[in-house]
Amino acid sequence: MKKTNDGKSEKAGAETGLNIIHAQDIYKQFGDEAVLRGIDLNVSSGEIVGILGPSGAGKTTLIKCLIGTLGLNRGSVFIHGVAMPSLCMMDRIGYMAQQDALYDDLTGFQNLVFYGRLKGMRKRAAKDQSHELMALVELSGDESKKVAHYSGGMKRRLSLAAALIGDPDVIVLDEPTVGIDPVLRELFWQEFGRLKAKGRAIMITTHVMDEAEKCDRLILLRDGTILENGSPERLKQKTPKGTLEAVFLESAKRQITEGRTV
Amino acid sequence: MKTMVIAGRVIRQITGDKRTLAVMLIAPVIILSLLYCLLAFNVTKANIDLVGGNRAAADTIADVANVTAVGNAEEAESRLKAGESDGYIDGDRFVAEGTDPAITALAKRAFSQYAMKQRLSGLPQQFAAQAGNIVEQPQAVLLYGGENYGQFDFLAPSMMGFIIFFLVFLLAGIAFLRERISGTMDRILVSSLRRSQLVAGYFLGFGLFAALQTIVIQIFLVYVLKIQAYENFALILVVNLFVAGTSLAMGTLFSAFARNEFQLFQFIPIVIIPQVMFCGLFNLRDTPLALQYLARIFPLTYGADALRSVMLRGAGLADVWQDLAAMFGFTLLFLTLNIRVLRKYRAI
Repeated sequence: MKKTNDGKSEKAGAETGLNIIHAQDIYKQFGDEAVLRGIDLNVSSGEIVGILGPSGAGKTTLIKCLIGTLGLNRGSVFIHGVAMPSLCMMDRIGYMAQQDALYDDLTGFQNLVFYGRLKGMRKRAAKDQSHELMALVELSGDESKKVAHYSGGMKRRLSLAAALIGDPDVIVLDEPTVGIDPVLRELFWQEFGRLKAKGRAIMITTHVMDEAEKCDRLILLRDGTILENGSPERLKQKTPKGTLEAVFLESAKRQITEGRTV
Repeated sequence: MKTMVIAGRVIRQITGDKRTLAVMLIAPVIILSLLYCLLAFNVTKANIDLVGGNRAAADTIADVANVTAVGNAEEAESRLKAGESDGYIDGDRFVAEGTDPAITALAKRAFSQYAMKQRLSGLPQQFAAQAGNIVEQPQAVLLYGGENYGQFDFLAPSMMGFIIFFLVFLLAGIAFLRERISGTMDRILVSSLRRSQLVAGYFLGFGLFAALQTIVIQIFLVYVLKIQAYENFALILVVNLFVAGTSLAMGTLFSAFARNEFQLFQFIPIVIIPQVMFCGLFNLRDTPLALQYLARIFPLTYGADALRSVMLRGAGLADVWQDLAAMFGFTLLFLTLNIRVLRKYRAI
């Protein structure tokens, strides 16, 4: 395999179908409250997996458990066959939280270089890739502007770029398109498609139905358990209306009838 | 290596934020100047009224009091109540205002000198000269300090330690807290960065500014305010870096127990203010033993003690190593706790 400047192996172009994330019987509770109850899931390379579910379903907790920033009460997570949390695997994960998680008093460019350096990139390589990513998210003209002066949409774009620095092969995005306009959303999904084509394993949590349609597979999470796991087409067939919205609403309704808060 | 990446970012953030930089470098200069002015123009003489007194009697206390001759006791009484004088002498009656202990002490000093001189003047001449010799104050030889050594010189080392401690606690605590609440902590831990490297990076970054701060304070104290102190720049810098280190470790640890800046500020009355009381502003020698032990749980007690030893008594490293060791112990304890608390963000 070809080596890059960073001494890392250059990732295979469009190698798809390899199991990248493997989670087994994840159980997580905060105090007395169980947030995840026995989750099993797999994500392969070249696959976009959407996690759909009402607020409080445990989407963010699930994501944090998968990437190793939250400890598990039971179960295990493997990335590339390595038990998480593992320091060496951490550099191969690109993570975008619901919060922008940027340093307001640094410029957009400095933010990217910083995150790149943390991923183990050399200074030169981190700078080069930061320029590329700034161009990708259409922020080239604002590289030297402090993030404090960015608009909400610009911050979101920079946050996505920060998740992509270091060319991670596992990309985990927690509601990446919340609060951004349709044009920007389109840009984001174009990029997700490109990453998928490069063989990256992508997980996205979302509330937006037309976004969910674009995923290869959907995991419908409710009350800490997986309700459905399948392609959007397969899920749609499960309701008379044949829309994802109906699938979502039905699951939420069931939750209300069972007396749980949505 | 990654420690340097964190340190570099902290440095870039502070240099990019002029306000923080100003607080770190200019605030100490302002605080010390204010304290200097307050102490330099402190009241050194009481205002004493002399009822029907003569000029000769007034002259006997002119070196310790500003004397005003008044016509009668009523006038003296009303001037005292109006705050125009601190006390009055009416024959054998000595009256002081009494609310401010420092002023009362000055008034009492004037009274006793006046009484002494009066009694001496009543003696026959040959006894008066002998008695005068007996009551004359002896010349004291000062081991440290000197002719111009004043209250500010005594307080400056403690204040220097306190200012560094307080500002580093606040700024590092807030910076670390922001890391938690803005989500950047989560993001930076999705990398092979070790928790200890994160904390070490903060240490280096803030350490640089603490060093700069201590140099600015030292130059200002020595060359502008011209304090009477031993100029052991290197050792003072070392002590101050220990103070800053303890403070940084404490600030970043306490930030873990605050959900926002407001909650972090709530630690100030508990964590910072007691340290001011125990950092040498008051002599604890005769306080109850419990209080003296309490003082020992506050790191600044050791920092201020070391600074006083170095600056006022010319102590060397061999004399202050115990203070440094105590601060190092505190730093290590807080750091270990902090790295443990960070497990909340990532188990490894």
